[in-house]
Amino acid sequence: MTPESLQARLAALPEPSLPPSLWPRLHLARVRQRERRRRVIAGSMAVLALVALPFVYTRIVAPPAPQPDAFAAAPRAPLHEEPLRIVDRELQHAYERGASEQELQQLWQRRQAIARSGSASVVPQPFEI
Amino acid sequence: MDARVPDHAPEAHLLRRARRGDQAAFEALYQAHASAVHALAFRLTSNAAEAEDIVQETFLRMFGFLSGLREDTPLRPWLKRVAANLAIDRLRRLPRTGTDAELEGLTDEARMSPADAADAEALLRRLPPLARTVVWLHEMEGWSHEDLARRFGHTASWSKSLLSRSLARLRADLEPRGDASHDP
Repeated sequence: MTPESLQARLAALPEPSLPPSLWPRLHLARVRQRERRRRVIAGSMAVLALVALPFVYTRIVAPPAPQPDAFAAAPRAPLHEEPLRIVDRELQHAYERGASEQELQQLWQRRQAIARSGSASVVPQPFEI
Repeated sequence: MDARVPDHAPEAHLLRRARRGDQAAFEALYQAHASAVHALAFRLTSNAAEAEDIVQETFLRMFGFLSGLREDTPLRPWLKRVAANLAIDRLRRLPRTGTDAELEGLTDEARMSPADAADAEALLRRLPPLARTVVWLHEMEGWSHEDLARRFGHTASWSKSLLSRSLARLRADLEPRGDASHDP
């Protein structure tokens, strides 16, 4: 038997009949495949959104810049000026409560004494009342 | 102008419609090619259920790959290539069998009825799955030994040797009794 005659015998084989049920089956499988893909896409989008949300949130709603601490930022007086501040505060309170002239006089004398004895180069001004 | 264009124009039109989700176009493409794909799958597997599975998977892949299909080339070779690859994948998943030993076993003519001996289809079915696939793809589908070797993960020599022994077996069985001239 020649190769050609063998090929002819194989080519002459009857074609198996296509089952008519195959198209409905394929159609159903295709519908399921599309649904599955839709679910996968939706799931992927949800996961992507969950992953991206914190990033987007931090980009769009940036946290407020930290406010400087009023106390920490306030320039503190050198230690040698502290007695002066105390006397100044006492003077302020004395004026507020309407202290006697004598008391006020004593406080002013104390303040002048501290200012003289202290090494502060700049004498702090008393608070305005 | 390309002479092939008018031949594929209706198919290209169907492809365009199918890409837009036209259900009738899908069905028309299926009706145009399913018989050929099914025949190939059946020849390679010799199993009706497996052939139907392969047809289904082939068309599902086509539907999923519509945007990548070229309109200027016929669709059927692509479909047949996909079906053949699916059949080969199934074959490769089977537990390894001794194709050589099976081919040798076919010389036992006591197992073959006279009717079978004259029936090329029955003889083809009796070939080991690997030998049957190589014979059909090479002889009827025009696959080269290089194609077969690449797809099966062997050398072209392996493909040539298997094909030669399988064809010799087929020819011997198809020769009329008493007129057998065995190939070397």
